[in-house]
Amino acid sequence: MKKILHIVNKSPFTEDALQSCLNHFNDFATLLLIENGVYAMLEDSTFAKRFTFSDGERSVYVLWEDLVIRGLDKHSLISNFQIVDYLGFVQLVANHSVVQSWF
Amino acid sequence: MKFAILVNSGPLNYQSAYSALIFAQSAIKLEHSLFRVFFYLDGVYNANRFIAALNNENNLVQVWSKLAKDNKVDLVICITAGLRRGIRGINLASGFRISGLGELVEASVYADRLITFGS
Amino acid sequence: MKSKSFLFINRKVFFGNSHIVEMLDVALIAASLNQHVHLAFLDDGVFQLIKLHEQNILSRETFEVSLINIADFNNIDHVWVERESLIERGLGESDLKIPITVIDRVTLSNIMNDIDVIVSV
Repeated sequence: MKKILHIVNKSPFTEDALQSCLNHFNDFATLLLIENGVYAMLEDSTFAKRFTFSDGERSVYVLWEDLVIRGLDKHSLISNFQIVDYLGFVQLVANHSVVQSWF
Repeated sequence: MKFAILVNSGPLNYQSAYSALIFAQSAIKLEHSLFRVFFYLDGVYNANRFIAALNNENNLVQVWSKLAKDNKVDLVICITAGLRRGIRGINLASGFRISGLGELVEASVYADRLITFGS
Repeated sequence: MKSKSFLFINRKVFFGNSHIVEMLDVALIAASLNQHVHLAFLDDGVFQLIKLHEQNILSRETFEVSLINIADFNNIDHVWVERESLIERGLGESDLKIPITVIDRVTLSNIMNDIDVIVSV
């Protein structure tokens, strides 16, 4: 069962929040990208390779509303993650035992 | 499920306070209960009723007040964080109250989840 | 009030504002309300722990006092600093101004999973 929900709201191109989160990411963890954190999902970016989780156990979610207001819904995004809206965001928080925000 | 929300950013410098507000509205929509929203650090600026939104900008302060009024949400700003930043009774928006840090700890203990919005 | 375990995450360095003092205030209040309080310094947060040799205009006296209170306050369960964060920054235990337990990144990651409440600034 997943225990911790990590939430990252900073662009990986300007801040270390996402990198540090990934440094502390293990099999019990889920990641949700919100606000400027969603820029990490651009498929052709230098950061994209960090999301090629291979074990299938790690889950990455991205907040739909924040993708849309940044126009990223029209861009090629990394494929192995799931999109949630705000209601899904609330349910993710409910379904994990603890939440850690990185900023 | 009972949620508590901690807001550590002001209404203007980052998106975080806005995210906290939408999260609160969404939790209510899903019929979860919101034990308390606690405003700390620069988050206390969300309670400044003298903030004026220009043109078509959202006025987050008013939306928080409306959330408190419509859904009886407990909005609490930290007294010492408020004093440091000039937020006091005189400029406190409706729906907010001022109290101590103990209320953040209490909210974290009584709610099933604490989620922090900051920058 | 029942007891929960709290982890306070410090991963930034602050000068010229009160954020770190305000963070430690929450930890101290939580401890005084009989909560299980743990603090972790990682990433740039480890810079907060370096010994200062002189005061300056951004002197952080209040922070120094708070930190000593944290170290001395026996209601605080643990104060940790992350080994990898120190190494990445060319620092070692001898650079720290208070005695503090050094833990590995993987250990800290596991702690994050098992704590009830995480607060970060």
